[in-house]
Amino acid sequence: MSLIQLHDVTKTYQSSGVPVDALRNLSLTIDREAFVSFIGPSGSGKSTLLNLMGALDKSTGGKVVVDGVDIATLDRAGAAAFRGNTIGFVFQNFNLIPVLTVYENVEYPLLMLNHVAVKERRERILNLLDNVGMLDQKDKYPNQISGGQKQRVAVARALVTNPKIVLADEPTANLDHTTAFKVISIMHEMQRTFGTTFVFSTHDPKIVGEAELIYTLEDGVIVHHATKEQQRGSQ
Amino acid sequence: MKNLIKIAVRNLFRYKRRTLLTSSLIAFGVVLVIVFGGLAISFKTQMVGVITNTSLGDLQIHKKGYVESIDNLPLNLSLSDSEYTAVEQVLQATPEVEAYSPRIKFGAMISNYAQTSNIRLSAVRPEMEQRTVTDLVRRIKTTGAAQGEFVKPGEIVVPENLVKGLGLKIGDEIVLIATNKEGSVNALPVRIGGVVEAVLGPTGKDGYIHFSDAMILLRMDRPEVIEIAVKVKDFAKLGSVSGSLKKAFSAPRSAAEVHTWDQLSPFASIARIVDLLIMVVKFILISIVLVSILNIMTMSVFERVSEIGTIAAIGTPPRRILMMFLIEGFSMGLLSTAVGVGVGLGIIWILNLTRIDFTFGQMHISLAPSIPAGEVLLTVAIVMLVSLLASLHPAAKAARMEPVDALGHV
Repeated sequence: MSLIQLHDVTKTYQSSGVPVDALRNLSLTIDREAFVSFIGPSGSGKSTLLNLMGALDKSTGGKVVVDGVDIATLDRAGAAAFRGNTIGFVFQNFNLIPVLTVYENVEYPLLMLNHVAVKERRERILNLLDNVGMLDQKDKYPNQISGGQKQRVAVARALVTNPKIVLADEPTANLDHTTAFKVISIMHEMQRTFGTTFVFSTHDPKIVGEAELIYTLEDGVIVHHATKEQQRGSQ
Repeated sequence: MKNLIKIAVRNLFRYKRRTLLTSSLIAFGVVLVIVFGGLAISFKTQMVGVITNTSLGDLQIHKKGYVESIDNLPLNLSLSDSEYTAVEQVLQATPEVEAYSPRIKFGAMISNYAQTSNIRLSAVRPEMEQRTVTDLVRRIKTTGAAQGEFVKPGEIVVPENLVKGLGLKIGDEIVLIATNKEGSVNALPVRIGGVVEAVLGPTGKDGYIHFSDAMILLRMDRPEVIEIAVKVKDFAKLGSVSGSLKKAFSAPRSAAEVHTWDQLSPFASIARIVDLLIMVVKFILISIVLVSILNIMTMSVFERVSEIGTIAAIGTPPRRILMMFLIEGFSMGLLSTAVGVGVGLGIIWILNLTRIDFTFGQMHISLAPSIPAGEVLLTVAIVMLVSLLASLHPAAKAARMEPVDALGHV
């Protein structure tokens, strides 16, 4: 059963009054528990695609259905609640809240859900921080840890609500190669442990190879898709 | 809510210097309101106290129509014996009335047999007058009159301006010449028993004689009271006491009418100016708070666009984002007010240790600044309310941001 369905999706921006197509008649499906990456040059539509899947933006045409919900039907508060319950985000710039500690950053999305008991909340956070190797740093503030550590905290934050999907836009772009591999392997491990669907975009061809399914985007259109094995064979 | 407060407070201390500067400005405004308010209220209270406790009384009762021609001191607008008795019964039945004093007010000539001048006389029953205007005796220099008898029959208490002008001294005999309501002129020799300092400035020409002497001088067969000065037990309740007395005298057949001190004294306008100045200072405070909080919160929102995008992306509903920034602005106001109130009350305490004495006109005023709890609470409420209002626009702006645009903000 597909978790994400895109039917003939178009996204057009206005740039200085001129319409620019970021995505053109794009259709695809992503299954549950998949580990998918999108590659492509800057401006190919990777971030736009992830924004649509994450209910951060709405398509100009076509239909985006995530976990059975048509994103176009959600209002602002509904979209926020949907994101809080269904989707976890990992950002290129980590985007941790600077005034909160590592522990509090991971706790924050759970507080928005309101229905997780204090004891369960604490167990979940400590378990995740342990899983991403950040338990001993839990009382530090974001400016006291490295970039790789920040991204590991961001992965834990993305997973703390037990989302069905984690969307990661260029999660390794600001990390060195070794750290990038570590973060991707943590994401992979989390996918196996929690059964979460991971969708990420990247420029790094070596990182791309870590995904099970790879889509290549150019000018808002999927020009190629391959499994991990097919991608390795072609290299 | 606890977490929203935690985040808001931590964000405030994220930019310590900026927060400190803005808080200091708001706290300064609060200090200004409290200290100025304390001094101004003290000045007003003292000034009103001098006026009501040394001459006017808290309120006065006259024959209807008297106050319109008060400058002429008309003797024909007096309360007859029966009318005075009716007023007296009402006053005695009003528990809020502390004391009252009937007076005959009239204009006369005063002569030392060589020079003559005019004088405004209040003929009083000394014991009743002293219970009503309790500080009057302190203004009178005598050769040692007993308590309650600051003016005896056959004596006059002369204003100090006339003493200087006519070269008089205590013990001198002078003659009073007056015209009664029928137009008949009469004279009465009296001895100077005391000198009263002029409370209303250098032009004051108010003297005191005994009630019985006025009856002789004006050839009255029966007492004809011109004015009844009234002291109330609680000055703060003057409005309600005056209201109930006015109601009691509102019947068409009633001869009396009631006026409070502020309707009779030109110093009431100074009291109103003091109130206006306090309002102006409060308005300045409101402006300081509004501009400061609006400025700091707008900066805060613009600096944290990407952060707002992040919290929106990870599921924070727009109303929570709104609340987060409102709490931040409110906390800033609360922090500043707490400091301002503390410092302001501290300054008032210090000022009370070193009292400020000065002379206003002929009034000797010793300021002991104090600010009523209600005024402090009102100041706190103003700052809190304005802080919230000033935060509303930036907070709404943050809540309305599209997460996808905010996340892309550099």
